[in-house]
Amino acid sequence: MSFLLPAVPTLTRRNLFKIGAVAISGFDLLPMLRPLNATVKEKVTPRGTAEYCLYVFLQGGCSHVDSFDLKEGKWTPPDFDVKQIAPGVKMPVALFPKLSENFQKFAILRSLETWETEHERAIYYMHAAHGFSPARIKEIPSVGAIVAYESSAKRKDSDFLPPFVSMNYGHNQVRQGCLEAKCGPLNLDTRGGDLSFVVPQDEKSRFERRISYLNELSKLSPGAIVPGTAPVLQANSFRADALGMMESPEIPKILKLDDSDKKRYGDSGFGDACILARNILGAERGARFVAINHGAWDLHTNIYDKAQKSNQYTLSRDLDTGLSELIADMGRTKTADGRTLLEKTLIVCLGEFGRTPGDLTVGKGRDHHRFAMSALFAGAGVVGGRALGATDEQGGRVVKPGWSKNRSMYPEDVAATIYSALGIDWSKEITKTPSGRVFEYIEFQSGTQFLDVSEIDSLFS
Amino acid sequence: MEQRRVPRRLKLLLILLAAGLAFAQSPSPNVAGASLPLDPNHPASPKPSSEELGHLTEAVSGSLPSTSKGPITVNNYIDELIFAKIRRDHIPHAELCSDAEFLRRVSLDLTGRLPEPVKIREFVKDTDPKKREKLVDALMVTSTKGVTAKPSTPFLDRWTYFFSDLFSVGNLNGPGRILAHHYLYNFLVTNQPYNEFVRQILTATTRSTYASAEGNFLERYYIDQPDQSTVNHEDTYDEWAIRTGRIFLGINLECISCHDGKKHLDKVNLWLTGEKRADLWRQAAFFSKVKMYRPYGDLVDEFVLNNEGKGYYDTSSHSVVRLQRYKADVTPTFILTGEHPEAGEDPRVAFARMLTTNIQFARTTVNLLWAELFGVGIVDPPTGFDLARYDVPASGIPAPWTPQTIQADLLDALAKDFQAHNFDLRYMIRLIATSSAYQLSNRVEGPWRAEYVQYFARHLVHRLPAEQIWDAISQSTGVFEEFSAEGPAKVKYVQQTVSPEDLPLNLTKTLVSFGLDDRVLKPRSLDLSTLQSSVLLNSVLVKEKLKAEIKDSRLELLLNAEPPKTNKEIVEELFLATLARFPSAGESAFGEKLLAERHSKGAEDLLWALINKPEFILNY
Repeated sequence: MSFLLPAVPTLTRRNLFKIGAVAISGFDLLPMLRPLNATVKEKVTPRGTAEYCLYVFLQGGCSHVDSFDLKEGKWTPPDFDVKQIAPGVKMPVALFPKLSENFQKFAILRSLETWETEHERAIYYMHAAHGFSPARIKEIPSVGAIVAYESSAKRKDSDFLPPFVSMNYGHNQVRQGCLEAKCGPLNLDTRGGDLSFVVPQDEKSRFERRISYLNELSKLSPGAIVPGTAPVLQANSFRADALGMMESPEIPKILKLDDSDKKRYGDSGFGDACILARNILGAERGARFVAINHGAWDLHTNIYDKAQKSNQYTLSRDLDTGLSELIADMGRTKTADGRTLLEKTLIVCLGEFGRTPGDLTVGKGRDHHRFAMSALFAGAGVVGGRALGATDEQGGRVVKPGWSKNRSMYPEDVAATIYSALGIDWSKEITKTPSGRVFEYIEFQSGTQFLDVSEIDSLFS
Repeated sequence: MEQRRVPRRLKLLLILLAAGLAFAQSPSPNVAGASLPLDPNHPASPKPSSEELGHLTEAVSGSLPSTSKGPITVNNYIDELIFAKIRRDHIPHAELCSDAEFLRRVSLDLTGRLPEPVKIREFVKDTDPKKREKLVDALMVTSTKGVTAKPSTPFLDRWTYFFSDLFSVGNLNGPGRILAHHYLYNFLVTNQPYNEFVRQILTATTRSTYASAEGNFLERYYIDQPDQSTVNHEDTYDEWAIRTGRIFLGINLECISCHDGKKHLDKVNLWLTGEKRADLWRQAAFFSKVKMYRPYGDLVDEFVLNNEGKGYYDTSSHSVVRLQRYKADVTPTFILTGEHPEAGEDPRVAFARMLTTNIQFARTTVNLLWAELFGVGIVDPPTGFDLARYDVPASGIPAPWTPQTIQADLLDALAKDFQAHNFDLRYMIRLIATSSAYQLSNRVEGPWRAEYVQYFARHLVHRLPAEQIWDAISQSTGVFEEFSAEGPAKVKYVQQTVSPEDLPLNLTKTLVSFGLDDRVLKPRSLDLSTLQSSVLLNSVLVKEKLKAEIKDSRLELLLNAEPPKTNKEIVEELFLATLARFPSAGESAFGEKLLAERHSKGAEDLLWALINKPEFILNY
């Protein structure tokens, strides 16, 4: 019996993270289908103003009435320093000094609603833009994975970064579903994780030597496994991707957390993630969707208590510093085609749901609330300096939609906006899924109602 | 891992997110393939009895190409049933794997650890024809002779960890997780019948989940009222019905917890399509005498579980996590049989009785074990049984559906055997591990097709779970962390810890990249990824273990052995310690060259390269 020798792990930087290169599952040749060939159902016209998307997720659910849809009442701490920063827009300037100062760059949406009030389902919903279904959890990809899948044709030989990078996510991440593993997120951790893609300068020559040994060894024996076996092919292919990143002369700079940057971005896990996001997108080496998880906003108790490790002040300050610096830097970064990085990147920032408005609860906090929440948008043609939509006096319900559809916005609309900005036809569907049920990029329903899902047009005009 | 506290009423996540998808498999018998007949030259043990096997033996006698590995023997009825189908449908199949492959595979599957080099040499040399069987026994035995402390074996570690994982023992148990761990250990060390164990945990009452173990298994899945201080009982009963359905009956009742099966699951699961939400509630109603509350205030998750509940399932109660319920008959009714509790019988006792005596309980359990040893269940995922096309003749299954598995006869034979052997887990593990089917190599000549998977015609290569990868790195390098698992005693292996909370944060993050879950949010993943490659290539945690100067590390001991070892011996030892196989001549020469050129640095580099070979993280 003779076996082909395994392909030597390639060190060329071509075709890294190439979709279609290897099979899907970590299992060996299980009858999984490869659901390619997404088909268009009814043509929509995507806007196509963005090349990239930066998605900042406020895990736990940010209190909208203490931030972007501020509602003053007897509960409001006096040191919030509430000020009007634009017509109809009040902000707690003490919590968001920089965003308030640079408000011209942001638009606030105040007319979002969601369906889920339970964390994991809400996290799932926001990232997948599909309601949670136990029957389909394994096959529904996240929005980021769809963006990665859709961008595969645009990949250049010089691209060495994965199309979908995420940061500081834990177990609760929505991955590639029925799409290939290479569409899934590559998660980096800036909160004490090990950024193993950077080979320290003084280990470089040894690392190169080790890689050459590994290649030599793989030529000497096929080992104990049939070389064409899927997991072996995958392991070699993923290693080539990893090496493509590690051996790039650009990667130390991209994954560098410079001390002065760190300080400027707030010296937090979130700030560090923002620095990396800036570098990763700014490199223009194949990364299309960058998601940052920022938590934990689930302030059921003592929301204003500064003695608590996490409270509305600390979380807001981290978000304010990191995001403001990031946007400022992106606005200063000129890209190859002459546009700034900010002009080419749609920035979306939102949480799991809103929080109960009005007086604080008995625990001096706020619980989960699905009937109103806020989001921040910037970049890629978003017209900033204003708030779209409005809620009632306490912030409990949407009273003014603020866009052409004249209804509350839902997470499906947010996803459609991302797809539209990135030039992706959101009416596409994939018919060949493992369960046999059609996967629509966007389902034209939300919760229990049919919905004329649309991009949120008013952001751009 | 997130440092945040998971709010109590969200603890249903395990069920929500861990819910598996019942993939519709379309078996196509009569697949074309090269005929590579089998040959049991050796007398089968136990003796072949069925007509089918007689046919098999006769037809293939003397036709197998001789190999150094010896002929495939029919060791028990697993082989009869598997090879009969392989032969009937002319499926190309693998030969028996080599001794070294078998030793590695069975050591990982039964004990979660790699075999030590000395053991590999000994086993390969052993000429006893029964050595594989004897190895299985040796790996499973708990010796108590002369032992004064709690006996601990890798087998007990691995299966305590497996069941802790299955039952989601973890942080949400508070200090109860340690109790649950000991309880599982005791169940395994005494080889308590599984049905009895399950009856105990299903009917447990406790004055405090912090003081006694039994209540911790149900406690794990409660749902709170929105105020997060009291338990929402109907929601909790639903979770218990869903959870017990998954791990004890292999069915995913989660799917009918929000809506009826019809018009939702028509393409997913034929059996569930016919089930209704109310069927779930009737199953949940068996728990309706349970009262669960916090005796010491709402900030402490210490619970009382007793039988003083209201005794009926209230469909008008508010659901915190699902659509509101409608009025329905909610008499406790076992979903598989329609049975009700007998007059005067406690409903939970009735539930435990019906569940553990139903063949589906035995099937599900055996299928879980099978999946652990083969990397794929006979029904896969093991929580995805479709009972309307499981042991139903093809003619009774409406098109386009096809039977869920071609191996229902095998699984049922195993299930009945499990019942007949008093639900003895060790007996089943031993039976599977000693079958020839389990001992097939991963190599088949000629093209391999996805349809062959269900024949188990070769061993499927699958990635090691995160914990086994880390333990293999520690074991290979001889450099261990110390984990505080239960009080002052430290442990060296991840698989000896109680739950992922025992790991330091940086290691947890690393293992999350290998698919480690926290037993709450998501099923573990065995996918490979770019990040995993980068960790093996360059993470500080791995690199630190490779330093030859670390006292008592494998490298340090090898390089400073007295009398000194030759480079050839060192290279062989490193191959055995990492890949659990001997190097080829070329590999050995290459390794020797590295050592000759750079001595300890070369040895470090070789160890690094071996850990980075794909076979290191794969179970083949």
